[in-house]
Amino acid sequence: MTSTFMRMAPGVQDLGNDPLPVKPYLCPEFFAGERENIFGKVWLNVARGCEIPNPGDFIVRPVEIRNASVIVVRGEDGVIRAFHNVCSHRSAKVEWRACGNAKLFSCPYHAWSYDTQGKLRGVPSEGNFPGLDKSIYGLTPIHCDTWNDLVFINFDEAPDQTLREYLGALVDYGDAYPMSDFDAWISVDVGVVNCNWKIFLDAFQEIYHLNSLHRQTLTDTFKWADNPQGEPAYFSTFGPHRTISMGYNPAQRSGPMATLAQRFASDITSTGGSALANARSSLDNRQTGINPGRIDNWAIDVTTIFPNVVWLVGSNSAVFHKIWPIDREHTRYENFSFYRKPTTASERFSREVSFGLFRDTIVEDILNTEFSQQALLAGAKKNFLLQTTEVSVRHHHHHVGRYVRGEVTHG
Amino acid sequence: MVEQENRLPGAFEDLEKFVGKWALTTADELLQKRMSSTMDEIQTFYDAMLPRVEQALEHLDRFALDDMSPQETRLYHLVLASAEAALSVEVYGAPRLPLAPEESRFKVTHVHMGGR
Repeated sequence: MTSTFMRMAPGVQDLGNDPLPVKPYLCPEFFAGERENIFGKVWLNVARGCEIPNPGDFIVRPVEIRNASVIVVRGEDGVIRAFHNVCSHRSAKVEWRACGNAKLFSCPYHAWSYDTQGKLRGVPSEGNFPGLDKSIYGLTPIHCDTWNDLVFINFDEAPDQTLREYLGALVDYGDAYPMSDFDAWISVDVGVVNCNWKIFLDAFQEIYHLNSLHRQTLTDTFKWADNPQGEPAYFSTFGPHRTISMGYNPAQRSGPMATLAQRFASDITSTGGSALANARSSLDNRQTGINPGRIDNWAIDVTTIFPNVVWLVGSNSAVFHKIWPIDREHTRYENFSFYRKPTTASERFSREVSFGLFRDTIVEDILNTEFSQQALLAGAKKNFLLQTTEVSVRHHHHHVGRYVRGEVTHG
Repeated sequence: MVEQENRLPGAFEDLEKFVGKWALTTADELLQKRMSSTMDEIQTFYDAMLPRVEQALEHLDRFALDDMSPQETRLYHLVLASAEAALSVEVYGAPRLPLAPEESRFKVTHVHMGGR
């Protein structure tokens, strides 16, 4: 039986129905292409501005596929910048903490120090470096820009698109989204997952598996009488980015503790309650491009910011799956669930109920994806089969392929 | 001393017997506790908490999240633990899910989430 539930946005190209070859998950040359033509060229979301709210606040993030350690820091002037975390002296690692606040970054090797705008400030025995021009030996900058509190970096020396050009229609989609309201968070750091990054990303881009793999956790959250399979309601693309919209089940069965929590606004894993209804109506009033299909019982958009971030766009939370390739067979996964800051025990309780279920759901994907990687290495299958509602997976591979083959050009 | 460390606000004395096992201060400890408990243990705790959670929240809502007495803090942690127990009782029907990876495979961190 073919799917008739999901609508496609006008203009979304037909990506066909062919099986998807697994070679791009395995091939060393393909991975090298991803490293150069995608992760070396496009804008990558590394942080939220709210993670570094004050001057001197910094985070250090690894970007393994670029062999990079990146400092993202809010300067004394309030501007967020990104730098290679590498000393100009002899390429030692400057900042070893994962986050913090600093006036100066001091390299532990020979104590060269840099200010929060990357300028070289201190060189012990400076007189022994004849003619040293400190003004040209600051930390190496990485292009950095911000959209709606999302901080992006670009490793290209001269990016051929600005961040806004790269995001394209995604800007109109999400510009009015109240991201800044969600400034408290719970992160889940899974560390290394033993699979290709696309296998892991695939798992967060389709909802066909919610009825089976997640049957204990999300059993009737996103399906209802007219949509018994819980199929996505709408699919839309923005260049290489995309979203699938999901509807909620008005008759979702919740236990008494979960029902109590819904009074104080939960999200993601629960779709009922007056607090959530109020948040949804407030989001509607902001006239964002969220819920592009204007689904009446809209629950959430699953929005992929190409290449490696899946943003779960909710009315009471903003959740980010961040999927970082390490090498062909290893991926680093981190998840950030951003909420409104709880001010009362009731609000905190509601987030605990919602987050606990979400946490247990997302970690259910780990063992499954690792097995699939083993299966590909065993040569068990040559193709993946994709059904209609897995179009987001197909769309991702279409665009990854275009970048890797060098078919994406600008200006 | 032990009695002192288990003390809850007056109206919730009957729940003090759960403080030692369930009023855990970190999310990691709590998840570990749920996953390593039997369903009977979880159910017993859940059954005791369910009729009291709403009243406990009403009590705790009178305090700022970052300014609670030790007694209120224990009750707060007990209420958060009841949310964890509810997952097993109301949703999974088991202490842990069949495909759950070892808890050591992931680390949960809370920022600005109210004392935890």
